[in-house]
Formats: sequence, structure tokens, C-alpha cells
Amino acid sequence: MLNFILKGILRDRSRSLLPIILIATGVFSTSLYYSFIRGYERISIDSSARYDTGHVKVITRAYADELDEKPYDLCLMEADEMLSKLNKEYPQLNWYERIQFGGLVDVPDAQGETIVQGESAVMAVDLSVDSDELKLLNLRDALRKGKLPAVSNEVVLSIGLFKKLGVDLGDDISLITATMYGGMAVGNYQVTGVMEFGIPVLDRGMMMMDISDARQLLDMNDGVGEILGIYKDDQYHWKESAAISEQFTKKYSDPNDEFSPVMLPLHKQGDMESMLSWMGSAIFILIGFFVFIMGLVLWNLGLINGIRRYGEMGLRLAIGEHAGHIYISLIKEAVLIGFLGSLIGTAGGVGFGYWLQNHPFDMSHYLSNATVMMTPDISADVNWFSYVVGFIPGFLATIVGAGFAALAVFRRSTASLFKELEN
Amino acid sequence: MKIALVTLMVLIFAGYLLADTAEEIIIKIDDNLYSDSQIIESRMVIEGRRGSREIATKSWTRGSNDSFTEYLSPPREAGTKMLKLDDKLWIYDKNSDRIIQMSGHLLRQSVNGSDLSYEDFMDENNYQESYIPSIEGEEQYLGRDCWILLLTAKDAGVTYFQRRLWVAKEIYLPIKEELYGESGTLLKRIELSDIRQVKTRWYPYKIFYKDILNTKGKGTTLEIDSIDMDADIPESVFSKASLRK
Repeated sequence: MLNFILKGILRDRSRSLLPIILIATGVFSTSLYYSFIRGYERISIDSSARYDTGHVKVITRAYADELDEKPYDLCLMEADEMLSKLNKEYPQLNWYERIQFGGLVDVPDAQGETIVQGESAVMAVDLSVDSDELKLLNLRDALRKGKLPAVSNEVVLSIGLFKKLGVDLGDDISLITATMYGGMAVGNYQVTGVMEFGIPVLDRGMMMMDISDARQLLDMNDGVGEILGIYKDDQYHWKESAAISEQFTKKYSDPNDEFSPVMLPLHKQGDMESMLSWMGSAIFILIGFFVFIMGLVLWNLGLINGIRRYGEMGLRLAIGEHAGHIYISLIKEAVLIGFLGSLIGTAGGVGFGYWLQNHPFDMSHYLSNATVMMTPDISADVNWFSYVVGFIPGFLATIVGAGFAALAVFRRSTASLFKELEN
Repeated sequence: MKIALVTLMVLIFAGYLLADTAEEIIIKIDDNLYSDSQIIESRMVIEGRRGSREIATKSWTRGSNDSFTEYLSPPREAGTKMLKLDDKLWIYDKNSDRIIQMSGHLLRQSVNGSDLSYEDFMDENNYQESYIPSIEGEEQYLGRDCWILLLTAKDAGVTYFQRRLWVAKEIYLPIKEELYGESGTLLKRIELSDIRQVKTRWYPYKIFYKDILNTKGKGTTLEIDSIDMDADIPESVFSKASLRK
């Protein structure tokens, strides 16, 4: 029977071609969209963790309240002691000290008079030769010119700031900011290199210096803005990070002391939670939308097909075939069409997804004004769900659509059949 | 009866003639607060979230346009100098040996984490020059009879578009001030106390500033240790060369 139906589908292309193309297109889009969203999510988490949030972050309660402003005046003191505790109690993570602050870069002439000034966001990290930060922040690859700071009072500038200030390697610049107590702080530095991360928000106006220089400048001895924790396997463990954050905060934080430490998991920082939950919702909204639209389209296609095969149905009923049998055969046809369409769509979606996974495309043009901490090379992320996310809805939608359309069989009258056939 | 009525009318008319107008009040306030030159030694006590800090300074002021300030303590800040000439402000940082001209958004930054901005520091024009006054009313404040004066900026270049002053009547000195932006938002509150007579003037020796928008801090108190009005200040003080001396 199936063989007979399959032959009918293959030989009568007007019966199957359009539905198969439609299903394949829908399944292809869904599968690819899912893989793309997953890739986008992975890259968002990875970039955010490396450059901003960590998988978890230890800060003071006061700092947490104004997290977006990076209020280093509300920093964590006795950072060394805290760091050794974190290394001991949470060995599954690597821990990194960071200070982020803003300042005005002033370029002097030979007489010390200002030539040009520009605002800068400063990221202070451990830049020593054996520091893991070099790999975590991809600093060696990001270096476009010059070298990384090797001694005290050396800095690297982002490409945007370097161009804006019109400086050259080896030039002296001053950074004007405020100490953690609010006093004016001015430091003199030599520009040793130029960085380009491909992340617009970093490339626009960032300066990077060693954390010991920042501590000296900001009068922040043994203080640290943030301590970032990154899982050693580089994967974000959502549930575990939430659990250890809660455990840490319960153990070390005092609600009455605004400078006591708290730990925040990545998804509880800034807009990350809403962004990640939006991505999760987007997939399910897409699947629901896809099933609804495809069901509707296929139902209509079934109805049109029913009109086209009006005579055939009448004849089959007239020669004694039961309406129920015809209905089942139409469903079987739909099963085969749905299977073929979904198979082709999945193969295309997953195949293109794999290609995108290995050939990321550059979205820097669209992200040039973005404020998100994210690399512009967006790739897909294919996993087992990419195979079923389009296939199952595509397959089911075909059957549901055909199921509704084929109900017309039961209303088919054969009384005027021969008159119809004569016409 | 007629005589009494005429006497009453004369008294009312005389009272009207003798009453201070808003313009006269701010002239008298300016006479109290501003002199041709002055040397002030003061301490700024900044109440921050991590505790309080004290910064001692010595300032030389000439007219309402020029001033020179040197930080005396704490050690990290000592030696930092600020020079204001007309509408320009330079800061010398001894740690970096740099002279920085403050401009743009830097002027809106807090001075040493206090409730004063560099713009406040620049804003030394007297009231008559910058504002049009009007009397809003009268009330008792801290046991003193006060006029409530509303000062509205003459032009847009002024840091605070409006100021509301509670002026103590018997000494022609504001004892409370509220500073507003152009939108009408209250930006700062100032309380002036420990008022002492300096030669022929009345001068507040303690000024409390609160930046309303800065919810982190608890306010800044400027305590004046000594003041020398109409002091003789050498011309060389008000030059960029004096910053590195």
C-alpha cells in the first residue's frame, strides 16, 4: 500500500512537489534559525564571560547595586585573601582580578601642554608574561602593533582610541581620573601597543594597563573592582554557578555591611538573564509559529488538492472504497510528503548550520554602534536538537493540515458523479 | 483721628521707601562675601561611604575671576595646585608633574570626591553679575528672620540656572541656598553657618554642601581656618609658572 502511495506521489508531482518544497523550506529555516540562535547564545555567553561578567563574579554588595556603572570606589578590599579563598574553595574555576574605570587621556607636547584629550574606558588586568589573562582575553592575537606592556607604566590602546588621539608607539600620555576616594589622579604612561578585539565596544575607546599600575593610580592598594571566575572547561554551568553563588553569598556576605562580598552568576548580571531567556523563548515561539503557519498552509493546500482531485475521490467512493479508507490513504500520503519534506529541510538546515559553524560570518558592520560585549564573528551551533527542531513540527504540521483537509472526503457526494465526469 | 491716619500712612510709605529691594539685598550679600582679594586657609571634610576624608588647602583669590589653590594635605594630595584665570582652569599634579587644563566634562567632575564640582570652583562670579533677583517671601530659618530670594540666571552660561537663598536680614548673608538646573531640578543644597565678623563683613566659617544627585556621599563641609580679606597678593601668584613652584 505504501509503495502504491509513494509511486503516486512521485509520479504525480502536482500532488507532492509544492507541499514538499514548502515543508522543506520551513524545516530548513527552523533548523538553521535554531542553530544560529544557539551559536549566538554561546558566543554571547563566551564573550561576556571573558571580557565582562565572568561565569561568576565576586564584588561588594554596594558595587553589585550599581554594577553597570563599574563603581570602583565601592571596590572589594583585601583582594589577595579573597582570591586565595576562592582558589581553595572553588577549584573548578580560574579566578581573575579586574579593575575597570573611566578616565580622560591627555596627550602632551614637549612642553607638557595638552595637544588633545579623549575619554577612555580602562581595563586593568594582570598583564604579567605568564598570566592566564593573556589567553583568556586573546591579547596576543588582538595586538595589531607594538607589544604588550612589559614593565610598569606601559599601556596598550584600542585601535579607535589610538587613531582618535593621533599618537604613535612610544609616545607618552597621561591618564586623568579619580582615586577610589575621589581624589584627582593623574598617571603618565607610555603607549607600547595597539589592540583590536573586533568587539566595537572595546575597540572604540579602551586602554589596557596592568592591574598593579591601576592600583597605584587609584590609591587602591590590595583592592579590586571585580574577581571573575571562569570554569576551567570554558563552559557556562548555569545551575552550578547559581548554586555556588548562593552558597558563597550565604557564607561571606553580611547584609549590614555594604562592602562585604557577594557572588553573582553570569545570568544575574545586567541584561544577561533577560537576553538569555529571550533567546530560549525565541526558539519556542518560532516553533509554535512554524507549526501554526505550516499547518494552515498545508490545510489549504490539502483543500486545493481536494478540489483538484474531486473527481478521483468521487470515483473511488463510487466504486466502493470507504471514505475512511480514502481518508487514511490521504493521511499516509501526508506522512510520506511530510517525512520527505522534513528530511530534505533538516538535511539542508543542519548542513548549512554546520557550514556556518565552521565559517562564521562577520557582523561587525551591523554591530559598529553596539554596546554589547560580543565578538562580531557569529557562527551557528549545531547540536542534536537542530535535527529534530524542524523535523518534528514539519512532519506533524503536514499530517495535521492533511487531516483537516481530508475531512472533505466524508462530505463528498457521488449522486451527480457521472454528470460531473461527463463535463 | 485724621492725624493718626496720616501718621500711619506716612509710616507705611516711609517703610516702603526704606525696605530693601531684591537688587539691594544681593549687592549687600556680595559686599559681605566678595572682596578685591582674599587669602583663605580651609579644610574640606568629605563624608563618603567609606568614611570621611579631610583635605587642607590654601587659596589666593583676586576679584571674581582669578584664584590659585594649593593642597596642603593629605600627603598624596599635598602639592597639587589649581589655577583659575577668567574662564580657564589648570591643575598641576605633582605625582605626574603634569599641568592639565580642565575642560568639557571634566569640569563637571567632583573635586576630590566632594560634593563640589570643578564648575562650582570656577563659578566665583558674584550674584549681581550673574543673576536677576526677586523676593519670594520671608520666613524664620534657624531662628533668624530671612528673606527668601529667587535668583534667575541672566544668561545660559551660568552653572546653576536658579538659586533660592534664605538671607538673614540682620547680616545680609545667606544661611541656606538651593541650586537648581534649567529643568527646575534641585541639584545642590548649601548651608552656611558659624558666621563671624571679618573687618566690616560677615562671613560663614562653615559651609556644608550636599550634591542631591550624588546619593553615595553624605555631604561635604568646608571649614575655614583663617581668612584675610583685601590681602596684598603678588601678581606672580596668578600665573601658570606658579603651578610648578
